[in-house]
Amino acid sequence: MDDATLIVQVQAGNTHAYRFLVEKHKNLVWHIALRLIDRQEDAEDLCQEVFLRVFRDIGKFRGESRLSTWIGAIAYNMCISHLRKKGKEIMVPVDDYTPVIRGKTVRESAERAMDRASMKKLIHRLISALPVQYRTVITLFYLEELSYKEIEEITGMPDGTIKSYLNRGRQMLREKLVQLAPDIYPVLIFSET
Amino acid sequence: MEKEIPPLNDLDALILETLKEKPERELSYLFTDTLLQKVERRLRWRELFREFALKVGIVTGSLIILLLCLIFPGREASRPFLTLLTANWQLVTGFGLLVLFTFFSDQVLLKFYYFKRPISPEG
Repeated sequence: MDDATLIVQVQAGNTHAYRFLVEKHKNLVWHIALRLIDRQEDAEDLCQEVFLRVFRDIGKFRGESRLSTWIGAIAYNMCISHLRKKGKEIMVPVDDYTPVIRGKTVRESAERAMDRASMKKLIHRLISALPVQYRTVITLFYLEELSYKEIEEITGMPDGTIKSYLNRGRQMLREKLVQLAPDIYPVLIFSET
Repeated sequence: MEKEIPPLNDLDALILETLKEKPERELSYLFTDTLLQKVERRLRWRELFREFALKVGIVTGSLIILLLCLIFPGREASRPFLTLLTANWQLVTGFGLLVLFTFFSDQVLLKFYYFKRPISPEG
């Protein structure tokens, strides 16, 4: 079923079409919400709100972008509003990136990062500690495999900013890993200095 | 057991691989059903409210026509009735609102809450 038909069906109150729409786009919304909000319960509640908003506002969709981009933009804006309501800083300066994860420093976690799986867990934790704007573009680009244009439509960030956030985000993760796990990566430390 | 130390490029590869990985946490398996139930309730509410508005419109329209017939010039016989209505407008309005509320409760609220079912994993 193409987007246009789906929209018409949802507008007509066809719940089967709506179920199809939710199943098709729920991962996109979930990934945005989870990466931006982190708390599972809040993220899931927000996903519900996003899809209820989609149902309410589907008549306003003009078809100027893909339906997934439009839904993604709703999810992103609602997450940002949620974070603002909770008093979270959205545009955190890069220098303030000092991840502390669930009461213990990342350093402690890094010291235990012996194998690849643990390293991945650590990277996931570092990602969730990145500033919001970095997490957003990283999620949309790598996880959802969206183009720069689509990310621009969702977030409203200019093309250059998106590229910069992607590069800087990766660099921050790399620097933090190297900094936090020197005993595990002596080769890396040597190469860095 | 010796630690496996990845070379420099492996770290970038590992970061990239991790960035592309889906989060371990997933949406609850009831997510879509719960959402659908909420949407169905909204649709039901909208439908009940539209029906109610239509019925109220028909009844109000009929009453207006009846009143217009009563106050139509030359119908002196209806004067005492109209005087009675205007003299007791508060009572008439109160009665009207009571009827409206009863009608609303019966036609919208009861039907809506009867329709509302608890969400269970069995569906």
